Amino acid sequence: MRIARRPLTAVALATALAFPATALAADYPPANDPGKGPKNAPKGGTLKVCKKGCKYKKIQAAVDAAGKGTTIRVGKGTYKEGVRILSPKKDRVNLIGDPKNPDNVILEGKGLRGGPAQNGVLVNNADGVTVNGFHARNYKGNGVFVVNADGYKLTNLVAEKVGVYGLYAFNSKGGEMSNSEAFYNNDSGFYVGQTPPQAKPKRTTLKNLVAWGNVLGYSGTNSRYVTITKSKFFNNGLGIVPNVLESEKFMPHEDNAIVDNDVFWNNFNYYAAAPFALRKEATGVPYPIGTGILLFGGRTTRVENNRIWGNWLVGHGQVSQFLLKEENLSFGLLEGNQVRANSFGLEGGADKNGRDMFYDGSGSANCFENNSLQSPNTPTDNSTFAACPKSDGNAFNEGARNEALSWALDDTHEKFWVKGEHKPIDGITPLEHWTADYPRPEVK
Amino acid sequence: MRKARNIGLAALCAAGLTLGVAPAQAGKTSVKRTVEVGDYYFSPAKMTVKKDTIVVWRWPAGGGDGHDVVLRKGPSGVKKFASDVFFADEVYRKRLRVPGTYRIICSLHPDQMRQTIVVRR
Repeated sequence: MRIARRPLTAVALATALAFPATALAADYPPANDPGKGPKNAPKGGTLKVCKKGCKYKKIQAAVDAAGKGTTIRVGKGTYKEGVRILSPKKDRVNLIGDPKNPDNVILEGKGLRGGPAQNGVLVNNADGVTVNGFHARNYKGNGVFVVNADGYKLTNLVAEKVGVYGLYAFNSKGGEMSNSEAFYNNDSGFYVGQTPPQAKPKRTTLKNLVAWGNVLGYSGTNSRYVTITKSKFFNNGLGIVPNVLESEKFMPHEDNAIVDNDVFWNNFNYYAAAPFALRKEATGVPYPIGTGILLFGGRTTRVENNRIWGNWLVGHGQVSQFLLKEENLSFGLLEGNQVRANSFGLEGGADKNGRDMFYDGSGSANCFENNSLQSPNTPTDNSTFAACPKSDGNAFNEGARNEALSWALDDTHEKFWVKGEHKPIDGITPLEHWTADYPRPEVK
Repeated sequence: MRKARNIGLAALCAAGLTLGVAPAQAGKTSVKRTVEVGDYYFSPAKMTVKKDTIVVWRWPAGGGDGHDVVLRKGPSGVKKFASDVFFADEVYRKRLRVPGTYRIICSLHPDQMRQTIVVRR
């Protein structure tokens, strides 16, 4: 997510506070249909790509030769190319490397120029494509980028040190990201954005993901129908951040579910040191580093049964998106979000969050229930944390919002952390200030 | 020369060479005008050029979100064109031969990223 660098001025703040609690009716922009799902049976066929002894030595050459439903098997090795799957003629193409060990099939962006340097794999206007078993790294844009697709499956992938998003789906319906790892990406490890509103929604599932060392673990601008589950988000600047921005269509984000995840140690202060060059956009964005989950506006999202610990600023936060233009502020309001049955901190008081929950009370029908807490909330009087069910306006707390603004505007990004002791985890070293010898975690 | 590809949204995808808009020709002396493509703007957003000017849209090396260049509406006889979606360190060139008004958008961010180019005789 890229937040336009609109200063957090007193005017902006005052504008935001003028609409603290009431949802306003607004129409969606017209949907731009990314396409219909595959209907015909796959034509099939298998093409093989490898360094020696195969008909195809370049993946792109095989893609160019493929028809609908063709399976392309790619042998071990490093492929310096940006693969492009660009039309409905490539519907249901299966691009398969080494699902058991994606590190054996490298898509390398270093040294490439022009279009191929942008993405490891670009899927545009092709439905039902599978990308399985690759390690994409050093691209200027993304590891894998899917746009204008009805259905996709991105699985057993690794996305490392790309310019924007590790795995990225945009303006697409349905889909799956699973069993994948994203690290050292300049924006978010995983991203689903601008989901077209649908009368019969196709859900997108993100499952068994590992995101670490990114600016954000997951970002979803104006995303909807996304379920994030059984995944680990740790050692990012922030862990999971669904958000509402004007830069993309179909505001707000809604109907998402963040369920049964481990969200911990998201205290990576990439301003201090990072394995990637920070861009001016990144340094201009006041993300509150040290946050596990942050709902930045949005509605009807469930945050349930997650384990959230060791985030030095706050475990779960939510605040209306108050930086939108005045005519769009209604899209940014928090509405109907539910935070239930999450476990904050570890058993016995170990590895607490700096604060367990933050909510400024903006919007309406937001509720909290059966969360296991160990650290203080903001506000400390808990006045904004209404019990479920909740159907009317929440109690806005100006002091709480101002406190959160001070977190975001802190130049050190650590001043408001409340640090404790981390409980060690085998194979994972906490990451706050990156150094070149930081070991790639072994996630179990 | 970068061949336009099917990358824009919906009907904006018509790519390729056209009667009125042609890719830049190597070796031909031409006036060039550069446009920066950033998050979430074209700069300049409005400009006037002489016909046959080569417009060069440039994505800075530092990069940012993905953007493309899509002709939403042009003078009569000019077919739609579109660039790939690029993120960083890339250029897209078009020679604008036909006088008139060219309305450009980024198909990913059409509400924020709009550009008007007036081509004079």
